[in-house]
Amino acid sequence: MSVLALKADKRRPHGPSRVQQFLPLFPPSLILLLFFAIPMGMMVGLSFQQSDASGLTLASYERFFSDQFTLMGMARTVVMSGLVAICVTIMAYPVAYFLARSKSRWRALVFALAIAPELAGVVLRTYGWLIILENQGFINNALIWLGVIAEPLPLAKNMFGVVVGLTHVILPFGILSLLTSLQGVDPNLEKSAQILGASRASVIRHIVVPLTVPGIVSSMLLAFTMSASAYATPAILGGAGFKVLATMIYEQVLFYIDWSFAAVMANVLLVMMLIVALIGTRLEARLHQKLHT
Amino acid sequence: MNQVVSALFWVSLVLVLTFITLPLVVVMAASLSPTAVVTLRPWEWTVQWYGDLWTARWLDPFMLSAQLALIVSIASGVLGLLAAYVVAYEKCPGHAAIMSFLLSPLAVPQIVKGVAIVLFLSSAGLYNWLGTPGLIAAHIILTLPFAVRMIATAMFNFDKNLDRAGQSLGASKMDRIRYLLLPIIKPGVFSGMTFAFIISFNNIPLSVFLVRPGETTLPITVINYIEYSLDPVLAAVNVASLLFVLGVIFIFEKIGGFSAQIHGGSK
Amino acid sequence: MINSDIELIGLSKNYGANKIVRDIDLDIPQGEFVSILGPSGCGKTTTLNMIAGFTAPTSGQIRVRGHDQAGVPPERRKIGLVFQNYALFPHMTVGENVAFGLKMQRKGRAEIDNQVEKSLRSVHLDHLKDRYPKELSGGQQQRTALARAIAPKPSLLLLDEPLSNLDLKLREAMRIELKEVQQELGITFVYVTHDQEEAMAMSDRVVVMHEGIIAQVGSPRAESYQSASYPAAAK
Repeated sequence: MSVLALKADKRRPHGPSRVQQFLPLFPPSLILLLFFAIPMGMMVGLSFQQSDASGLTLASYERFFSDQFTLMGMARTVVMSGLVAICVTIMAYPVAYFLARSKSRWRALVFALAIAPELAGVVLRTYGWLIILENQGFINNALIWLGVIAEPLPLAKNMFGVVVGLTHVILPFGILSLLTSLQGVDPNLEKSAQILGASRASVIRHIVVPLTVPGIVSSMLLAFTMSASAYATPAILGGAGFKVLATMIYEQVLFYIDWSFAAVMANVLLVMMLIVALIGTRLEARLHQKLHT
Repeated sequence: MNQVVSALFWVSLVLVLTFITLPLVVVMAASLSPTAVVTLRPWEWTVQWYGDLWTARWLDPFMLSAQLALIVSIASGVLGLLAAYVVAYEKCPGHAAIMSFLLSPLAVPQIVKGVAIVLFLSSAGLYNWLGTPGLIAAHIILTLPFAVRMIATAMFNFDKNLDRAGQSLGASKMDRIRYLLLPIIKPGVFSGMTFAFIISFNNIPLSVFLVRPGETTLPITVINYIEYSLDPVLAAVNVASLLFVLGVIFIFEKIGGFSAQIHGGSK
Repeated sequence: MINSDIELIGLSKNYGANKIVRDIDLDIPQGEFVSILGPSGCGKTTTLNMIAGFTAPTSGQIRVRGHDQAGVPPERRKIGLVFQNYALFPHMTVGENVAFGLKMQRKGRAEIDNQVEKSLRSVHLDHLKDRYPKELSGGQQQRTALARAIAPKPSLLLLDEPLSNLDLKLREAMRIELKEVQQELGITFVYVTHDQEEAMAMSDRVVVMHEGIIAQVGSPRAESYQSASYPAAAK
């Protein structure tokens, strides 16, 4: 008799029932469903609709891809994000290398300096760059006072200012992403190469950099996606004429109140992100395979 | 040759660190400068701009942002705990898929999430959700995945043998959750909540769609103000809110003890 | 039969087609020190987990003091357990760790303090009551785990390779101590190990498991290879 009882019981000896087990998931899932999943579905649906027509239509997409203005905005987004990705990765590399290899007491300080700005928020940092770069700003005033230039250089309210600001915002993430990768490289490899007579430069070129290619790729992809969806920095440092997808979406929703077109732009941005992420995972998998076989 | 490479490395390191700190230093100097022209001469500095912060123009948005961040942080902590419990501790059937669902908002840019929520609330006729309720909901969507991930990591790291030890000592499920699981994962929960607080307090891309007159968060108030003036009061606002965030981190750390990690492994 | 502490009757455990434990029978009288000896994968840990209640048997019965344990959750079996990695609660002091079982039984403050004191004294740790586990050496952690398991006065203690993380010297010293504690308290010990020497040194009876069955049961004293170099066994 007890053998039978045991048989019925064998899957989960003393656990709660299935329903009970899933119960705590209910509140978080409900919120995600209500304020994320359903709105996202609705937005995608909206992009295939027109206020004056019934049924599904690609009209808004046709408008997006035939309009010079939106296409320029999209191209500007790609160029801006690409530049930021390159700047972030180049600037993050020495810091990450130092953090990965140094055992000095400065390490903690450098780590704090590298990561702390993240606490300050985008507004503070963007505002900081604005007062550094603008026409009556820090740099221009200093250069004019030194007599290097007569007229202020156009450093803000353009692509240059936005790239500087975004690089600053995203740099900590680049450092962390490269740091993980560099910590995975055995320092003994570098030592043995040096013992074999390789110069510092060739150790870095032939050992460290090739082994951290996956980290470089993921840092660039991260920086690209973060820039492409950034709103505040392009809005403040780019000025009124600097339009990227994020700022155009904002205008469509709040000034033109064209929801369908805003939804199209948001979907284009989303698809762009997904493509980059997909390329990223593919590339990382391939690089990983190459390095570990 | 090696010296040149070494020198280049140190120079680039110093330059990058200068780049990182420069805007923060400049904003601090600006907040103390008597005029809009930033001065690095400390004897000219004044704290007058900080005095100007005690007006409704800045205090009201600050109060809204602080309350919003607190609510969002607590909600993310509680909801994250519930979700992580089922996914990472109970490891329910399909926990990997459920985890992907819980983390899915991370794959969507904030600006897109913002549009989606504002379109949803408007199409559903929930106009009175725009403002504070919408801000709370949107920020939770943003912060919950981070909280879930941090708390789930803490739960994954929780040594199941401790649970068995508790069971063999007669502890019921509730006892084990209360006396073993929760105290041990507390640092993870509090780091998730701190993270949620900071993200919410500094947020722009979601808030920008959901604020309305009289219900505007501090960062949005600041960027609206930047549009037409760059006077040093802005610098003072920024420095003050940074100090506030640091204070909050300090308090959360005191309660949650996430940096010390004194309660490491059992070995 | 009346003084049997544990009876395993036709106990089996399968994971799919994989038969981990095959139809074993074992009777352990009250107060005996039994070792289950065998290489890893022989089913000894699974058997232990079934007795503790963490794993449900596929078939067969486990009786503790005459009562069938089917469906009784581990927390109500009143069986003490000592783990290989000690599983000390890292956020509690030594004293709090040892008090935990008594606290779960909702015992009074005075009784808890008294019993904690007594258990710590029997493992010679009374001076380290306020330390945290990570401040202890491996041997001290092991003793804390033992004190924690005996504090609620279980009639049966299961030990899963408790000495395997200690160095040789300490291991030999701990053998003696374990045996002393067992004799002092008169608790039944079921001791799982892959170390033949260890099993021989301490046990009243050694059960050798092999591929899920009991290959051999015997008293170490009767074994021809028993040697005088194991003081605990000679005692």
